[in-house]
Amino acid sequence: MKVALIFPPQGHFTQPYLSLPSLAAYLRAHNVGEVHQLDESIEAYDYFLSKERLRRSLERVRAGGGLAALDAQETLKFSDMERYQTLSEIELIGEELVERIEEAKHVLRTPAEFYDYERYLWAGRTLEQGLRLFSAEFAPSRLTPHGFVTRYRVERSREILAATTDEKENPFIEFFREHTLPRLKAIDPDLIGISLTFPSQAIPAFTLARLIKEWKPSVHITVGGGLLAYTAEKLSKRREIWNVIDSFILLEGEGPLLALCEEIKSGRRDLTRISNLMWHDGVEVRRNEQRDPLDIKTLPTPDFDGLPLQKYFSPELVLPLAITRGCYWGKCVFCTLYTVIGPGYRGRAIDQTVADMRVLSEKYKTKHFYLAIEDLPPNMAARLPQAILDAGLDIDWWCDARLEHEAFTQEVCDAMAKAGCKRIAFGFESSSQRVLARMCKGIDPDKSIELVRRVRKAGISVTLYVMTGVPTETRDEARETLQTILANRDAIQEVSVRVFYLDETSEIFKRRSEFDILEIYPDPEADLQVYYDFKAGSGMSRREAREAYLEFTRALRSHFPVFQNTNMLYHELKSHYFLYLAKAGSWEQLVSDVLERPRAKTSDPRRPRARSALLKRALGFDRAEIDQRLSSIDSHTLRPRYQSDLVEDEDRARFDRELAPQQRADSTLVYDRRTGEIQCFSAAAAFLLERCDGTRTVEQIVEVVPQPAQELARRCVEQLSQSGYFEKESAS
Amino acid sequence: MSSQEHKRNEEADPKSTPAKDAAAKGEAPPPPKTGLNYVFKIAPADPKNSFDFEDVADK
Repeated sequence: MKVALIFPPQGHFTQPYLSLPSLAAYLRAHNVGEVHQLDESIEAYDYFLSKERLRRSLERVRAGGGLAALDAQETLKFSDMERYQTLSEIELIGEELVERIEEAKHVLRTPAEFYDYERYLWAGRTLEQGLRLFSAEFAPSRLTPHGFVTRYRVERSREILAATTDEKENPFIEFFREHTLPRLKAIDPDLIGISLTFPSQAIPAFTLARLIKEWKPSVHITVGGGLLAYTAEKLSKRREIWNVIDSFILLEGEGPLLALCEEIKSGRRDLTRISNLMWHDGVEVRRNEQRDPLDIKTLPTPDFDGLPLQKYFSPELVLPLAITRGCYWGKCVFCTLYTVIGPGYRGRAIDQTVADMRVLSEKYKTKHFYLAIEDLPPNMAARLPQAILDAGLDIDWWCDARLEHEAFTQEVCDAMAKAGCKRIAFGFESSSQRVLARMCKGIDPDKSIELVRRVRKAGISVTLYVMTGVPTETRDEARETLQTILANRDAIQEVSVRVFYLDETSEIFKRRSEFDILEIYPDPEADLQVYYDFKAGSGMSRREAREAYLEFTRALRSHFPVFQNTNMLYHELKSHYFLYLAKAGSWEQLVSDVLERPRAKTSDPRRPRARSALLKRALGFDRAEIDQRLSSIDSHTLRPRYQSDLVEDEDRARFDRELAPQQRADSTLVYDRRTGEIQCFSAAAAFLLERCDGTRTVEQIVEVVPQPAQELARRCVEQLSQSGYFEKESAS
Repeated sequence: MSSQEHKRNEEADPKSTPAKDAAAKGEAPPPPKTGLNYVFKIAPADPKNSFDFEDVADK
């Protein structure tokens, strides 16, 4: 019996997820035969961001032509600006990306390079630019570190299926055919399990299933995971889905997957015997009885063997570990956890958790853990730290927790810090007691801030989750939340803010009249719709909620070191910020050594000479202005699609008609090979940069500028100097 | 260079002419061809003008 468990793209690239290792451990403990784990998400990122593949993208994008033709135009309409943005970057740095992409991955995977913050920033930027180059080949599809979006909506099963055959816009068809299928053929599995957790995985997952069925129709393909908790019932109604898969496993997978293995291994293939299974018997969809999930105390330690652990874009492994499943609180009306995980809250014993940590730490040579749980329960907060210390484990970890004022005493917080806790993320949501009460959060905002201060005092980094636009929340209440956070920013390191979405499986949706929701707007074509736009009778409109969110993000960028300037740790999220925190030892150290490190004193050259490491490309239009215009369109409209800022075709056509065309204005794109940053210089600024050739003093550089503008020109040269554009040796 | 450091310089008087002494040396005047003369602007070329918090919230 051979089983292949697959995590399809797209998930984050910094660390493995827990779904496959949990299932693999369970199947291996029950000796079902060979169990293989394939993380095709990290495999895809690794391949797409390879020299060989990016070279192909560059050639294909160039073959499409474009920038010269756009540059010859008198004006650019909206859709031209979108292409101009992409093509100008590729023209400037395409070759550089191809040549240095492997180096960038190496930096992120190598401790000495990763913890050199300048190198880290360069590598992070290079990866993002590499993904933009790759995505340009499949436009308008876009693969980023955080998502995969296409013109096909994942709320519509018809479009998901259409995307699975679109060679032009679905990059995974080629990848699966050239890379995943050969791996699967070498295994030749009898059963394939696909983990489907995020919406970004939907199109890749069904693309892969279709290709597998074309290769080996007899293999049983089952799909499980969190996304199915929302969509399986709806997906099952589309007959064509059953041409590419054989079953869905609903809720937790261990028990049903083992039973499925046994049925296939025995040759009986009697699917009626397997709990939590949805399948098609040739005539109709069958949904088997639902059984309560397993006691997680009976589960083995997750097993990461077989995953390509060396490929994650991180210098050290951060292993996820679930010490509980479910939420012990379970009352928040916006939350859909009950839907995803199913009934029951269960915890693993403290000694088991410590044993898991020891086994994983020794086996995978890492000391970093992410407790992949909804919230650290008070009893574990009180007991786990001492158990870790008693066991002599030298580890770092982070987790989510509820703002339990009584549970997180100073003593508990201190013990957690001593036992390696580096970061806790709390659901703060709002500073309004009224809003919190409507959410059934069961917390007091003033006491929450006291708790946050205790956590901070212990030396643990604090992250707060905040939501804007919960039904009935007013703009003033949202502002009050922001003010509370800003007033306490000395004790808060990160804020994760988002707009409230109305999820049909939430209590708010079910009791929406209580929340003054007057209307919801279903998309008649979206048979998989889970999130609904709505109109409320009180509180903020959806547009106002988005504006409140933007107000939040602007304030965070202004006031929080981790979001400021070019800091990218939050941007890369997951492991990177945590690893830097663990390396620095404390938040204060991270700030002083990394985030707000003193810059090398810039030389004040008498005869400045522009660094040779600059790449330049003259343009007929102002790229910075184009960027600003395009991003402001996104910023001032509600996102038309959940988790996607792709512009719809009809909107693009409208923008083409209605937006004032972009007028010509010469500019120069300048790429710094050392930092990976790209800047857009106005013609006058580019002219000054050209004059900085080491032969002229600052006065001689600016003397050709009309007298009234010379002071501005001097300031521009000073800015160039401060920004590191000049060679250091020219200081002499 | 950080986004905080990108200052947009004010626009100088477009009617100004290049300094006479520079012209006397035979140096070319700055080249803006399209009207916005002597705007010394350096800004990040960022397709999304920095990341979106919502993009990173879920995974």
